[in-house]
Amino acid sequence: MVLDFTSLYDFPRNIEQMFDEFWHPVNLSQRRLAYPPLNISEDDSNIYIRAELPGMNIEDIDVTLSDESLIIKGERKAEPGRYFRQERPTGSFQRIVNLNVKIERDKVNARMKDGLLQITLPKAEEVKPKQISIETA
Amino acid sequence: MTEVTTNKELPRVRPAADILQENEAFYILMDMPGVKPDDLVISADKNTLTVEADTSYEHADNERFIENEFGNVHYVRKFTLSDAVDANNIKANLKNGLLNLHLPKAEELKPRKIEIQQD
Repeated sequence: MVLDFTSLYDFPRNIEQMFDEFWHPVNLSQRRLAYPPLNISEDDSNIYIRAELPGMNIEDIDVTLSDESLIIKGERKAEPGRYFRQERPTGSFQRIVNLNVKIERDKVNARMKDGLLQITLPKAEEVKPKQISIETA
Repeated sequence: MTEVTTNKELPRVRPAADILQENEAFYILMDMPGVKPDDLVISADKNTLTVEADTSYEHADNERFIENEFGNVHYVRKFTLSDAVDANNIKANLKNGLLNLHLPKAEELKPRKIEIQQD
């Protein structure tokens, strides 16, 4: 006897999809709470912090590296003039990223391109993963 | 977070815009981070101005994401142009992810200085 569970097996996937859609607008609203939006990633040798900061020059952004955190600070100024509509955010902003790994402080690099701020923080030598070779007897 | 392969799948985003007026022209400022000037498409027909662009954020395959608050999007925004705008002379400038559209007013609507004649 063959039992066909096809439709049943699909069921949990549908639920999952429903939850994905359900959570999606929440993600969008959370995104508005903190400015600027950040992406944080890492590979074996670096930590990358990226922020969307359109229309800002790197001189107007203050990036400070302290012992355990990285602080991105600045102010978005409104263009003077007669406004019909003003949707672009203005005012001061600050975001703090906690770093729990040691950083090569002298080699931190920040650059700005097309409104994207990218900060590269090289990990200190002692925290990088090391390959250990196994000797065969 | 999700691997997007075709442009059609990019989430559509309506970029934030400021509209300002000066004596000779209107200005539209739009936040479009991640857009390269070559990827920007601006078209104007009789009374609609359309701005479209895909962002091109890149990251290495071996990067592990800890926090992900933005990604690639497809920006679209349409504006209705009134007769007050000279649609043939619209200029656009994209710098640091900020689009600046300059829409000159139609000749007949520009403020005119009236000479006062003295007898």
